[in-house]
Order: sequence, then C-alpha cells, then structure tokens
Amino acid sequence: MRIVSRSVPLYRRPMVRIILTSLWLGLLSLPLMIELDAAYFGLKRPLMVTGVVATLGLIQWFVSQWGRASPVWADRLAEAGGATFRGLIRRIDRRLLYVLAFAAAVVIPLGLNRYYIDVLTQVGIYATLALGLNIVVGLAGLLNLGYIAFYAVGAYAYGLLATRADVSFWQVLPLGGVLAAVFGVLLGFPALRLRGDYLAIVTLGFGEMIRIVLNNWDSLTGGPNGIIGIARPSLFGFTFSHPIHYYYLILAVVLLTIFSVDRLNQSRLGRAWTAMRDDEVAAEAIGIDLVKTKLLAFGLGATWAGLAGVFFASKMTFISPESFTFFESVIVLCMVTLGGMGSIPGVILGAALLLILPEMMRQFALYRMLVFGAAMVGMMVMRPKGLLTARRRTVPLWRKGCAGSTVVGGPQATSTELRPGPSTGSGRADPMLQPSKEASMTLLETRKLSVDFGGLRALDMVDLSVMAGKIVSLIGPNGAGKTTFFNCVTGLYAPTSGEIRYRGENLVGVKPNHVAGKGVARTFQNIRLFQDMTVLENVMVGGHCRMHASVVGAILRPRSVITEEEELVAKAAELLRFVGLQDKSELWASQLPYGDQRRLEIARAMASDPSLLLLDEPAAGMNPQETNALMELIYAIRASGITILLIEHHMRLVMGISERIMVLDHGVKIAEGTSEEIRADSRVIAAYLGRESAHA
Amino acid sequence: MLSLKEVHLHYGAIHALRGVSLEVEQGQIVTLIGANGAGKSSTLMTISGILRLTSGRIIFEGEELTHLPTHTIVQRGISQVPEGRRIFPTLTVLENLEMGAYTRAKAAEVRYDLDRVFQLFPLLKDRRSQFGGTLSGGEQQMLAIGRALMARPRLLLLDEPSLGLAPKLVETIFEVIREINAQSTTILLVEQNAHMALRIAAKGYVMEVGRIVLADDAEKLMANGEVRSAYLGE
Repeated sequence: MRIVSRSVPLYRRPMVRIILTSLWLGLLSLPLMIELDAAYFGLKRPLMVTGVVATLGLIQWFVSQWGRASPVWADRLAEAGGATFRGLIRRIDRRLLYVLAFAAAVVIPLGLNRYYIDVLTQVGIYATLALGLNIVVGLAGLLNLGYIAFYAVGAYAYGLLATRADVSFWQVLPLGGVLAAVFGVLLGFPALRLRGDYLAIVTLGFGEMIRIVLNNWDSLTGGPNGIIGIARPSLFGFTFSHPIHYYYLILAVVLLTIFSVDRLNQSRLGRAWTAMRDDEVAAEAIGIDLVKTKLLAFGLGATWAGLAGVFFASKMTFISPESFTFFESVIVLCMVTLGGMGSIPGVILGAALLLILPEMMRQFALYRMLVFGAAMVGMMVMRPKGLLTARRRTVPLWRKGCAGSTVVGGPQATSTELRPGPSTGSGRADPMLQPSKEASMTLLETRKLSVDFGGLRALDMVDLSVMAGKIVSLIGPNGAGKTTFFNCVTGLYAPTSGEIRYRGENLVGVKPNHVAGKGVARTFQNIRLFQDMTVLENVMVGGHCRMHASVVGAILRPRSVITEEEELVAKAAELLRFVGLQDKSELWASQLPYGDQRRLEIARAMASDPSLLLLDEPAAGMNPQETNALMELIYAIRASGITILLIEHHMRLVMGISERIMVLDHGVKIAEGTSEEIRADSRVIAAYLGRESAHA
Repeated sequence: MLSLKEVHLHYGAIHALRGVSLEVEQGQIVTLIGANGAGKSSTLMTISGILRLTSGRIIFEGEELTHLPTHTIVQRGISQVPEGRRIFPTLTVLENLEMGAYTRAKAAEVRYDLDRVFQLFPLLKDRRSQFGGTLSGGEQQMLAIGRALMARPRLLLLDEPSLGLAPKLVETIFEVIREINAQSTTILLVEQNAHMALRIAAKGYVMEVGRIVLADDAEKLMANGEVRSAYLGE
C-alpha cells in the first residue's frame, strides 16, 4: 500500500537542496577560483565555475545517496573501519609513535632552509601557547579570550630585564613563567564567579588592557615603538644565532610543556579540572575547592604563555604591542579548538596546521582569511570536537600496578570494612545491626533552620536530628523544602537563620567542599555525574578531598603520589564492586543506563569516606526490581558504618527501611516518627500520602 | 491511529530500538512499560521525530511521518511531554503555555485551549505570571502536560509523568491523564510506575532491550505472572 505523502515544500526536496547548496558554495569560492584560474589553469572561467559547481553537486548527491541507501550498512562500515584503525593504533605501541614523532621533530629541520626552520620555530612557540591555553579552555573549561596577554607579560619581562638590567635569558625564563602565572591568578580572581560568555568578555577586556598599557606606558615599555636590541640567549659562551639553535631550544620548551601538561592532566588536579568543567556543583559537593582549582588552571595555563613570551622576545630581539593583539588570542584559541580540546597531540597538530598551511598558501595572500574561515566552519560542522578528540585515558596509568590483585600497599580503611556488593547475591546485612560506638550519638542536628528565597519561605524553623548509624528518611510533597534542606546542610545554600551542627561542629557558612571534607557526602535528585569521565574516574574524583598531591607532586610524580593514586584506584575498584558496577568501570558515565548511573553516584559519594550520606531520591525512575536492589544496597552501606539520610517518594522503600521518618510540608516539619506512626498520621495522609498509598 | 513498523534506531554504535512495531488506536490509552534502558523513551522520541530512525516506518492517521521534522509532526497532531518535564525555566507559566501553541495560527482556538488547560490545572492559572523554574516538581509536571495540550494534539505522548512526584500528586496526575483521554485525546504513556499505568490503560506493551516482548490488554498484563514479578514488584 502506498502511503500518501503530503506535499513536501520545494526547498526541502533533496534535488533542489543539492542544486541550491552547490550554487551557494560555488559563489562563495568564486574569488578563489578566479585567483587559481589566473595563477595556474588559464581555463575558460565560465567552464571552470560550472565544473566546480557540478562537482560540488555530485559530491553532495553521492553523500546523500550513501546516507540514505543503507545507513545501517554505512554505520557498520564506518565502525569496522574505525575499529581496524583503532586496532592498528593499539597494536603500535603509543610510545613508538611518540619516539617517531620526536625523531622527526629533531631530524627534519636539518634538511630545511632558514625560512622553513623559522616557520617550525613559530609552530613551537604557538604549540607551547596552545598547550597552555588548553589547560584553561580544554581541561578546565574556562573560556579565555585574552590569553595572549600572558605571552606579552613573558616577552616584556625579558625585554625589559635584558635591556635595562642585563639579566640573562636563563634567569628570566623561569621568572617570566612565574610572572605570567601571577598575572593569571590576578585575572582569575575577578573571573571566579563567571563562566561561559561572561568570562570570555572579562578575559577579552583583560587582554586588551595589557596591550593598551604596553602601548601607552612610553617611559617603561617604549610605547608603540616597542623594545629593540634585546640580547640573544647564550650558554657557556655559545650564543644562539642561527634559526636552528632557536628551533632546538623551543623544541625543548615544547617537550617540557607536553611532559608537564600530560602529567597534570593525569593527576588528581587534572581530574578535578575535568570534573569542574562537567559540573561545578557536583564537583564542589564532592570536595573540590573550586576557587583553588580555577586559580590553578588560570595560573598554570598562563605559565606556558610566559615561557613562550620570553623565548619569543629573545628570538626576535624586538618586541612591540603589535604582536599581542586580540587576533593572536583568537588564533591560539582556534588551534586548541581545531586540533581538539583537551588533546595534547591534537593541539600541537592544530598549531602546526594553522601556521604551516597559510605559509604554503602565500600566493593567495588575499584569500587566506577566506579559506581559513571556510575551513574553520567546515571543521566545526564535520568534527565539532576537533581533529583529534580528547578522550581521557580510560585505564589510568596506575592500573598496571594493581591489576588483578587486591594486594596493594597501604591501609584501606574503607575497603576492608565493606561487604561484598548486593549484586553478588551474598549481601543483605542485618537491618538491625548497629555499628558499635557511635550508636547513641547525634550526628546531624538542625535547630530552627529557616531559608527564605525572596518572599518565599522554603524552610521554616526546622528542628531535625539524625542519630549515628540510623537510616532516616525525609519525605513530603514536591516543593516542601526537602532538597533545600540537603542544600543547606551541604553548604550550597546559606540558611537565613538557625543552626546546623554536624558532630557538634557548626556547618552554617562552611563551603560545600569543606562540608564534604568533614564527612558529609550526597547524591543529587537529577543525577550529576561527570559525563566526560569513565565510571572508574568518577569514583576516583570522589576521593579528591582525601588526597594530598600538589601541583609539583603531580608533575614530578614522586613515590608518595604514585602510592596515593594506586590506593585510590584500588579503593574505587572496590567501591564499584560494592555497588555492582565492577564490569563497567571502563565505560563512560554517560553510557550507563539510568539505574546504574544512580548507583555510580552513590559509589562516588562513598569514595570521600563519608560518615553521613545524603541520598536525594535515589529510587526515582527505577522499576520495582531495581528498587529492591537499591534497598539492599542502602542496608549494606549502613552496615559499613555510614549513617543515611534519604529523600524519597517511593513509599515501599521509605516505609521498608527507615528507622525514623520526618515529614516536611511547605517548609514546616509536620510529623516525625516510625513508619507505622507516619502511615497513621492524618496530617501526613492529607498533605502527602493520599488515601491509597497510606494503605499500600 | 498510530502504527510503528519494524522501527530501528541507532545511537552511534548502540542499537537502541531493534524492530519495534506497535499500534495505538483512536481514543485509547496505551502504555509502554519496561526496565530502564529498554528503549521506551527512545520510542517516544522517534515518534516525535527528535531521534531519527535508521529503518522502519511510522504512520499516523494513514500518513507517513517517517522522515518529517519534529515541528511538522507537532502540526500533524502529536505532541510530547518529555521525561523530566523540560519546561522553560526563565519564561512565565503563561509564556510556557503559549510556547506550546507556537505552531498554531488561530488565536481564538488557542484562547479556548488555554481555558481548557486552566480548567484541568486551576493551579497553573493562579501561577500564570510566575517563572517556570520556580515551580515545584508537581507543578512543573502539570505545566509540561499543559504545554503539550496547547498544541491541541490528537495523540499525546507522555514520558514518565510520575517521575519524582509525591504519592498524592501521582494520583492527581493520573486522574488528569484519564480526564484528558476522556476529552478525546489518544494517549501513549511510558511509565516506571507500571501499576498505575496499567490501571488506566486499555492496552500495554512490554519492552526489553529495544524490543517489544509482550503486547496485550492491560488487564491481561496485570494478571500475567511474569509481568507481576518483573514490573509490578510482587
């Protein structure tokens, strides 16, 4: 039977579309064609234009047919192709690739003339810049449009110190880096609360400010004339003069940068950056200090620009504000985006392409920007994540150390206490089991806690206490203030009045990351996992606040840092086993089905070794079977000595496991008691349960 | 009214729907139940054209929907209440509802439908100038349903309307769903709360890993031992 298809508008018909787009593309490339025509072919112009348009049309037609004819087949082919390619890459040891690339970088310039060596040196400078910017934009996700200012700081630091104080290159090199880092942190402070567009504007302003200051402070910087006669670097009487000397010097700088950036990325700090980029609220709640982490990103990113700047000044022996325009910032940003945000080889490739290709297209000087623009647009359409997409290494470096065996050095308080996960079937802990000592202690207590949002009172004089070792539930209608209560306890909201005490300590005004540090962990109503990280890494981020590795430690990687990481991996693996996700540790968090995501969030929260775990609607969207498994899991968590405060609408779960239930309605506590008492409470039935559920 | 024939859907390498065929008849409430990740939401998203099927066909009122863009599908009379409500947080309640009627031209009809929504959810009328984002979860769910109704759909796709709602509100929402259906809107309902869903539905489909594994009258499904143990938690 033929299904009547209502008339498709003309412009939507595939053939019409192909013709129109071909004409449009042809029109866009007209100037280029004319140029090419004049330069090389001498063909009849109309003939050539027709030819190009026709070719464009044919290509589109082919692509559309390919897509339509048998998409499944095309997918499979692409998949198989991808798999073979990936298999090939995997079979070739990555290290071999790196060694080959390094050898090429060392040998190739020897066969080139001065001009091309200069171009390659330029690539080196920009690769360093792009790798630095990659920390800020790619890893930490903070858009910076004034990055070139730090490059200027480095360059002027050397320019001024060399011409006025006769300080040597080697002394200024680290100094330039440090100075740029200081400027980075200075820029970071006002930008702390900003993200996205707003941050971009602030950084743009900062970049311009630096350039304008350099341009106008004649007495110090020489104004628009810049600084001339900057000394070339020398080492033990040997002065760098030939381009190739500079080339090898910048190569060394680039290698240092790669080494450091890679190690930072693989460290506790790199994880914190990625986590912060994915979800700031979740990152903070898990114990990551956002202020420190952001400032470190700005500072460490700027450092490399400073180094590159010092080098640039020494190579050119002349600097002026002209080299540090907004356009330069944009170019560096393009290198990062084009190459692939977060990917080190990608960023270097981006730098190389954006510098070498324009050099090769010198003949079409006029149309370079046109081609550049078109290429960027095309790239972003076809590969929005850049040429080489960054995937965080799924198997962390340290995995080798502890693969297969559970015998890893160091005490693992949490893992030894844990029982096997519910999924292994052995696990239901005795619900009445009480962890020994703390049993009678009040772990969390609020007194007269009130929160106002504008005119709305979200919580009104709430007195609530949670005894250690219990499973306590907080229920109530939507909008009653339950999640607000969690947000107050974890420091995301500041209460308007009242007290929150945890183990007798005040929690009001304590920042979320410190609350996590004190031993309060939580999950979120609308799951907040770090989507760009593996399952294992998500749990590892949870351990962030229990670790100590510093920036220097992350780069130099002493034994203590390695041990710490190894222990964390072991602990994370143990926790995954506990929640029943041991087989999925290498998947991306976003690939997990819903129920698994909830359990992963619980494992992540547990990685911070909490004493109190706040679960916000863990059973939402789970079917009865999954809910049963969740009940088992909650019992097992409690059996490992963690107190649980639960928000939930699933009454079978709440009534089944809670030892105490508190009911909120319109911000007021209307009832408290055991499940029997709550079920029978007429106010609770009226406000929340409804008649049917009370009998269920 | 609506029929899916051997619909396949891929997300990259993941084969999410593996030949889903189902029928929704005029005036019915049909429910789709199954575990998380079984493909229930994907099915709804494919019907409304947000996800593009890789093969198979979708026919609505005798016309092919298969490759149409979503806004055209809405114009043809299918609107969806997405999982997690997805209301516009910085628009007011009234503006949210007006957005639901975006594809429609006749102002008088739209006004009539607005009244109808306010009749179904009097609470929304009281809050019409409040921002969507400031509503509680239950109110947001009402708003999401109201917004979908503003397109005057003949088929309403509901994705987990009970998600994260207090028990009492769940009852209210289900009553409203029944009422909407009584006003001659056909409904395809995806729910975790299989109990409630099967109680109001005429027909039910059970999905597992991208396939329909069981299709029957809702009453018969309720009595089915496997369904009881797997989806009703008994």
